[in-house]
Amino acid sequence: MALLEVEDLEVRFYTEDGVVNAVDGVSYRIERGEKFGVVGESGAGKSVTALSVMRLIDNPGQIEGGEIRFKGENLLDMDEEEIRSIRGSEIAMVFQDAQTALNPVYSVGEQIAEAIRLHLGYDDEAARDRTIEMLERVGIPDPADRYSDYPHQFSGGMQQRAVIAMALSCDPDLLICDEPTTALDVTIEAQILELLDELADEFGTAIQLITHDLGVVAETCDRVMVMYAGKPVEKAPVEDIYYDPKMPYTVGLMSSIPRIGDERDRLQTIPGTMPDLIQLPPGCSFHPRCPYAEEVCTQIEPPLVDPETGEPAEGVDAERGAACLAYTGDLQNELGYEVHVEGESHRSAVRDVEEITGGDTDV
Amino acid sequence: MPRTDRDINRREILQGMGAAGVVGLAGCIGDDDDEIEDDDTDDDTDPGTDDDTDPGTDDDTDEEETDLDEIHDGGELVIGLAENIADFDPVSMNDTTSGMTVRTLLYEGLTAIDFEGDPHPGLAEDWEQIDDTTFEFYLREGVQFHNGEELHAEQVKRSFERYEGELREPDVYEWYEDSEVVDDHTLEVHLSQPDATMITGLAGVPILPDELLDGDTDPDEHPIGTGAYQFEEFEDGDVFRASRFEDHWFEGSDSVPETPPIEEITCQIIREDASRSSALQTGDVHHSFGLASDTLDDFDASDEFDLTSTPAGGYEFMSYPVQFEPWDNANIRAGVDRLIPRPIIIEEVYHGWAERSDLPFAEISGMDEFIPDDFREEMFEEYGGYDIDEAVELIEEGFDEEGIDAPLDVNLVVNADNDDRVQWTELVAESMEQSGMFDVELETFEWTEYVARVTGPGSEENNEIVTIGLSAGFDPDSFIRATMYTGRQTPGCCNIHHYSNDELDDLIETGRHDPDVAFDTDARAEVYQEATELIMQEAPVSFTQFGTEIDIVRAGEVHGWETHPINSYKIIKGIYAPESDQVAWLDPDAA
Amino acid sequence: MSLRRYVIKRLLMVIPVLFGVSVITFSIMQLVPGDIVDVLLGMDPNADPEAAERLRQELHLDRPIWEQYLLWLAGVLQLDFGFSPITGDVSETIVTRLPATILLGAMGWVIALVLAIPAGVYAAVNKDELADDVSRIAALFGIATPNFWLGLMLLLVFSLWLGWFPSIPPDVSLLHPSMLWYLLLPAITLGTASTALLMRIMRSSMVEELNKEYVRTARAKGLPERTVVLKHVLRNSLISVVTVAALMTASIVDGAVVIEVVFSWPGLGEQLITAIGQRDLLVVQGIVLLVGVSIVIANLLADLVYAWLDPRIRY
Ligand SMILES: Nc1ncnc2c1ncn2[C@@H]1O[C@H](COP(=O)(O)OP(=O)(O)OP(=O)(O)O)[C@@H](O)[C@H]1O
Ligand code: SF4
Ligand SMILES: [Mg+2]
Repeated sequence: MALLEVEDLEVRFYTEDGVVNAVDGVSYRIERGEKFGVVGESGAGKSVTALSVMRLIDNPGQIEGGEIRFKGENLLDMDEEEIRSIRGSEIAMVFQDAQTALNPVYSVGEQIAEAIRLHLGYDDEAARDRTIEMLERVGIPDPADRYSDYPHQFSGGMQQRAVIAMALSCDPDLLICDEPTTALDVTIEAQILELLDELADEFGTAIQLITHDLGVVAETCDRVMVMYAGKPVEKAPVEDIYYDPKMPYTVGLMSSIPRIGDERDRLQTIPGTMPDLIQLPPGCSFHPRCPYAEEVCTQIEPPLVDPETGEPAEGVDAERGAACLAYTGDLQNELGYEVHVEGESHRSAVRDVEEITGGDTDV
Repeated sequence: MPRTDRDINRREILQGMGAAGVVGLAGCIGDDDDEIEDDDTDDDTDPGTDDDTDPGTDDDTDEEETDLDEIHDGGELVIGLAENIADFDPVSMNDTTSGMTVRTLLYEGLTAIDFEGDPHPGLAEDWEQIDDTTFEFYLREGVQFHNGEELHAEQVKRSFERYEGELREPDVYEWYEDSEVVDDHTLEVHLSQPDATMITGLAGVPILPDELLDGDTDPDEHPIGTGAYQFEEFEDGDVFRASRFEDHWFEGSDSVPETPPIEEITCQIIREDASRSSALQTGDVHHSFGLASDTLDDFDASDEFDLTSTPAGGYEFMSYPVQFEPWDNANIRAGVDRLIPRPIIIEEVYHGWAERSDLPFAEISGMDEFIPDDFREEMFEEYGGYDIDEAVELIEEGFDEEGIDAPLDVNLVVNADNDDRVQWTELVAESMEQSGMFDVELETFEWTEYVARVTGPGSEENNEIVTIGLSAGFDPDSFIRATMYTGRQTPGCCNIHHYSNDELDDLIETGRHDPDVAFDTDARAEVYQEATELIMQEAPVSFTQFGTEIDIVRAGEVHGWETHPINSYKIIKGIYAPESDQVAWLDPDAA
Repeated sequence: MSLRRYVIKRLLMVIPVLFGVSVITFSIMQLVPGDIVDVLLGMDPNADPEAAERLRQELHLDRPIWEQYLLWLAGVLQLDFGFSPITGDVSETIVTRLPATILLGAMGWVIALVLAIPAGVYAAVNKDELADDVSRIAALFGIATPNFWLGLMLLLVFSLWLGWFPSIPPDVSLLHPSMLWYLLLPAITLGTASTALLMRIMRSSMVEELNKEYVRTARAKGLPERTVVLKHVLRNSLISVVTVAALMTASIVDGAVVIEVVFSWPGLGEQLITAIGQRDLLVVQGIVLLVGVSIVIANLLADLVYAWLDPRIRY
């Protein structure tokens, strides 16, 4: 049994402008100790998916369908009390911006110790000791002195370390990291990712790592899910994504991967923007931006299928899947691109995706 | 004669006028106590036992036949005062609230004044007029002050002379020249001029003990008098307390016990009319006054309360800008006078709790004595009453004489903080407009600004009709001197537009100070009748209504309360006035 | 800068503030026509116009305004607030009345806080639901109801009809339980407008804070909602509330003026309005100075609470 199984998750936000289909039919699974990446542009539904797992979707959001099984139990069936006992203790979360994620008016130590007292039942002193220990683990110097410092007295990197310490303090089985490094500069980013990697291994914690950045995924993850407009559009082991991306959107993301240390703006290379989730374009929601789009792409919504066999791959257990009409036989032309890889491993490879043939981009 | 233009009578502004609310009028300095002339025409009012629902006209007094055995001795009377007590020293106090609590409750004068304004022996058992300007007073023996001192003549002399240079100097120095202590209980007083109002005026001049006169104790800190009540405590803005003085000199009579039945008096200061009214209804106070005119009918009709009322000395008037053309024309003024809708004002504005003022003297001026009924009717026929045709005729005549065309632009001014006054001024303005003779502008002012405007220097230079109120008392002099006498031109109170008429001045002076007239009722009557006719013709000011004094007590809890026409005698006369056979007591079983 | 130095600095700042306030009040009082002598003697037919002039001289009212001000200031610097011909020794008047006003103000303030904070929290947590709408309407009424009217209504209902409260202050010491009981109605009257305002501020501040990331962090920790709201969000929300609560001091002084009259409460507010009407300059000056001091102190306290609530603020 997998640690986490998300099946056919549907989340909507009922806003004044209309119903936002933030997550629509997402399924995936994370094994114990596994590192699972979720990528996609801003607004793809990555955070909503993650928050659904924490059951932290707030008004006007609503989890409308699907199951989220954690160690076999559906989190969506649990009452508040039960889910609270899981939050922070079995599933913990690291947020994007540590500066805003920390409460400015309580000391860093207190904010970590709070969770320890709650979940591990430690008394004040023991919780304090463990907090200091955790701070030390995440690499904060003089942790005993820094315990009573307030968040604003920490640098950005240290804040994120503290948040990680907080998340790991109760030894969770699953750590959801929602873009844990976006707010940091690249050198710190690398350190934090390394730290996460290291600690996850040490604690045996599974990680769901959310990012816009396939490069980061490449650094850290075992398997990847690419999301676009609330839907999974490609799922694959990390090597496959790198060497053999199947979905034009993924390909687009690939070509926008910078090398680590590269200052180029990310995700600027796919022309156009994500569609309005209130009113998705018909057919393949990527078609307005897809260089290979054809007439049919505006009519048929491509299901997630195994690109090799064309078999449906929407289930929780599917290892490989891509949502493009090229794999259902509906597309007339080929997807014309090639991936060149320089370097030995996908983790440090420099890729160059070269477009060979262009589709009918007028659609 | 610098002092002859002063008036012994204390008539001041009636802030809220008559019974009407004194709603938060800052500067409510209304001391409308007053005292009149001698003359023992005790033709008495004998307040009837009527449940008179027709207020404005006569004494509306729920007097019970009091039997001494029936009177319950003891208890605390709680009174709701509308104002703070501003001053404890008689030589400087000039507000009625200080008057009714400190001056008349704790202190006494040589004479005592009854409900009709007639003087009775007070601390002086008797007095004798030696000549035009000499009186001899014989003090009561064995009178004790609250501190145990005994009353003697020297204290009286010093109490008089203490007024010199003080704010209330005219109370005494209007007539006082000097005095001689003949013996411990005899004082010879020399007058600077005869004064018709002196004897009654003495009731309002407290006699102080040596302790205060020597300065051992400050009367502002601890007042000590001979009065039926002695001072207990005062918390500024909050509460004033007095207790019965067991050693008061009065020895008791058939109808009045030797000490007041009510043992303690607590005065709560409750400025807001509505709050005072509700305190009365909840029973938190037994007695209050100065409530809004429109609530009086309800109190009157309710079984829970006894409302007593009596015509009083307050009056409202309009002053014409006689320094300006065409207001120097008497016909125009007399014409406007007849445009004043007095009956409507009394009905609509005062809900009947006021008296018409077609003549310049209110009932309490002793009108019966000075102005016989037939003369009054004659005057009214000739000049009085609301009559548009008559008015227009007079005004047109005046306009012709002045060579101006109707309508004439007129400014009417009034103080904004007195609702009743604003209302009646509006009614007058409306009536003037309707006559077709005037275009009226009405302007309102804040109270103190208004006072400065109408009594300060230069008030006569404003071309505007001023409406305001004053208080007069038991003497006719008090009704006409302040507003019409040349010596009362502003700055000061209250010849606002500097009207000046030698003939009238002469009559006013003669009526009060002429040796041959001042102490002779018939002679005075002649003078005041002449003055009446002159005033009716001239109309230098127009009186619009006379006030009534009104008290409300909780029925069944307070027995025998009677309303004195002079506001600052309200409390003491309401509960204990031996010279008037008046006594009130608290029912221990009620509430 | 140490806290002590900060406090001292702030207290020293009171001086120019009070100086400015007193100059302005003094000037305004001079601009308004009429003076205290008009009040005392203007409508008194028995008053001697010469006595009036003498009194004006005694009170220095015949001097130029700056000279009058300096005379007053010289007295104040020796803690002598002067002597009013109406109220007597000004310091004494103020000292006797001050406790009543402080008690009323403090009670009004406490009532406002006690009602507003929970109500605001509740409305924020139940944003856009019935409770929120009810609180919004209640707040509107609270703000729109004139103190004067409300006071009379409370008096009418609870004192006159129901008889639960006396209609005038009982005859006991200020801190006696029955006095505090009596004070409840005026304090509620005084607190209502402030409650309404404070509740709305509390609500909007809370709503804003509830959307902050740290709230999500706290929830993600598995903290019960109570702890999230009352520990994490409340403290942050209070920061803006404290500022408003300090500013409320002024409106409490303001409200006390009317309420003290309605409830016959012998405090400074009632005295102030009377003194203004009577052109009792010294009393007005004395009270205004005191109000100035109290507002400065309230703001200073707010600053201290502010620093205590928010560790980012250091003085
Ligand atoms: N509270 C909310 N109210 C309304 N819509 C929401 C809310 N939260 C999320 N959404 C919508 O859900 C969609 C998915 O949002 P989500 O935050 O999951 O994106 P994301 O993939 O995490 O993007 P990013 O990279 O910017 O974090 C967005 O289009 C957003 O408009
Ligand atoms: S289905 Fe069509 S539009 Fe969608 S990714 Fe494939 S080619 Fe592009
Ligand atoms: Mg996100």
